[in-house]
Amino acid sequence: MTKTKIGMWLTAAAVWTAAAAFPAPPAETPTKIRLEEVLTIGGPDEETLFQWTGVAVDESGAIYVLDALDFSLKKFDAQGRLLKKTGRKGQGPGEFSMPRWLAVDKEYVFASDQPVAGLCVFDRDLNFRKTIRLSGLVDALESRPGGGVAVVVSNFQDPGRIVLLDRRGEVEGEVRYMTKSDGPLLDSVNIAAGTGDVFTLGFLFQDKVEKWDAAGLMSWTANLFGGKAVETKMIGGFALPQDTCVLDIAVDGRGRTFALGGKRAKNRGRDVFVLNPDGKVETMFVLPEPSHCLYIDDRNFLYVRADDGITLKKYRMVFE
Amino acid sequence: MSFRKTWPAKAVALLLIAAAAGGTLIRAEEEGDAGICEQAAWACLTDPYVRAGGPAAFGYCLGGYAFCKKYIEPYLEKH
Repeated sequence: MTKTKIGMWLTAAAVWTAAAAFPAPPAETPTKIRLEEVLTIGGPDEETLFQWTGVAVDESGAIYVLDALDFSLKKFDAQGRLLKKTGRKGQGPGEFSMPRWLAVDKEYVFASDQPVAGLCVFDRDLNFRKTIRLSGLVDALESRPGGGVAVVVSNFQDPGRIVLLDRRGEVEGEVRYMTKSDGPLLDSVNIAAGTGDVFTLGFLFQDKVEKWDAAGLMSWTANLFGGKAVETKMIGGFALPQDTCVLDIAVDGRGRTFALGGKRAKNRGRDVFVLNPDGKVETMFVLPEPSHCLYIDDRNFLYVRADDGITLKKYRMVFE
Repeated sequence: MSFRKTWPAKAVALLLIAAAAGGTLIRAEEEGDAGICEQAAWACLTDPYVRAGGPAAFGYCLGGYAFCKKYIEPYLEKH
């Protein structure tokens, strides 16, 4: 063996020894998350928001909000100044009766209305563009990183379906996370989308968080509350689930999942469970006030509700 | 009372009006100590018009129930 080869082996051995003695630091594992408030929109003394339901943020930091009591869609700049408002009560084009979910991509804003089997599409200046018809009511809605939206379509006889729409609202594909439900509403989910059409689902009436890919394969499933089935009660001939489990779900830039606990949680609407990209619960934190939703923008700012929906809060998440 | 303070009642009313269509809200014997969401769902699911509408109409009632459980029940329990 030449001196050169011996040198290479010695170097490799030294590197290996050093690596064993000084292992690379693990990926950031937060033990505690502290919230720093950076923006407030609305409030009890203002007439800005009345009962907001859906929120979405574009890459410029502009904030889009659906207001259920105002039957409107509002756009705020990154400093929280109202730029424009559109919509009114009704079921015509660009009108709302119970606005609920919201998503924004690079061109359009997509909004859902609770009793309508479809989506209203606006441009980012809030000009109404068109209505997209769907085969069922919208159970959840999320923008896709590559453009367009993923829509969980609620259908009593055809549960567990995510419809993938492109920017023009054309159907690009479909993901099945359930083909048969053991009872009504057990397929009801909140959805968060990641790069490559990877979807994280938080079940409203089941203690489950799951990650699925566009091919319909599940990567992992996790329980937050011990996995016990939700009790049901017979109502009008249907066994309806009683307790909510996951109120909303969001994924940050590092692939961590944030799940907002429902009635099953110790603090309903306030307990947020943080799962690592492999679906293991890493830590949790408690929101200052109950929220029905949580949203994380592409800069990892957190948006939640305060004052029973009159106020929207934006927080910086500090990992300690 | 301000408009904002009455929003849960208005939201439930929307659910009920859409379903009841003149029917009377009756507590079903199967409900027991039913809450506002259960009462609204019962009114919706047992409404003759809804029953005539089939699965799509039932889906509407179930969606309303989920909405109520998520948005309205926590508010009413808090206040």
